[in-house]
Amino acid sequence: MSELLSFAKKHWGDVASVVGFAITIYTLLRTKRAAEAAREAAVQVRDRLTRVNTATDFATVLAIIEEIKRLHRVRAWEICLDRYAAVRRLLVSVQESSRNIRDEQRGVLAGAIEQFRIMERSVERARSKSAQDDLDIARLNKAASKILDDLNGVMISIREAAE
Amino acid sequence: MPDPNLVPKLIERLISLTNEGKIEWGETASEDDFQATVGQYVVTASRSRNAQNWDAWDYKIRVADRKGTLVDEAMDIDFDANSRIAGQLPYKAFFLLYEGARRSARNVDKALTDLLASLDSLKS
Repeated sequence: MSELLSFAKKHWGDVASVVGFAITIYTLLRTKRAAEAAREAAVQVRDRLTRVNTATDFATVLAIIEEIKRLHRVRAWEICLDRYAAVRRLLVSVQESSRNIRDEQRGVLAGAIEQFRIMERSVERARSKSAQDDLDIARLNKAASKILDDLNGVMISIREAAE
Repeated sequence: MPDPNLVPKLIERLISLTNEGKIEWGETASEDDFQATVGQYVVTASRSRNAQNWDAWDYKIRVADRKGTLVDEAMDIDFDANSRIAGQLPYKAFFLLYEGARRSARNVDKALTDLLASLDSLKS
């Protein structure tokens, strides 16, 4: 016992150093774990916000397509041309901001972008020949409805992933 | 330096895969355009009236990336009329691609098969 006390008296500084070092390592590990958890939480929040923003953009896209169908019916071609461009811009923005959407969903978005380009071209051609009356409204709206259904499917998947 | 063989090769491959039913073409807002999403790209096969001869059609293929940016496009008239694409004259090759896309988008083969089955049932 006396030997132990003697050792402690002689080496208390060393013992304190070892204990202090162990406490430092323990604290560092805890700090590292906390930092990792915080970073993971931040990534999750960012991903969730992105998905919410994407869902909001999608809702806007769907609303514009509904408007385009109404504009077709009243033959408001000048406004349609603006809306085609707007919806294409939004779809590109959705593609760029959504890192978590699947390849086939990206394909649906790309197909929709091309469909609106074709609509724009059809209307521009008819305008250039003053033949707007020849535009097939039923066909244009059939295509718009198909796009709506396809995009709606993608939006539902994104919303489900965000919840 | 662009490789001049890429577009003919692309058309040949598209015709072959379309005939095998491996490419899903869809209708568009235009009666004369059909489109398919393949990998990262959207391919559109289309036709339009020839400017000089209203009775004739010009055929075109367009490839866009997923943002809708044009990657490349080609028409049958871009090729030497005597050259060969998929063993056919360019006009015929473009026509075959367009027709394949149209038949795929409109499920022509299925419709005709169903019709034949209906006719057979009338016979018996």
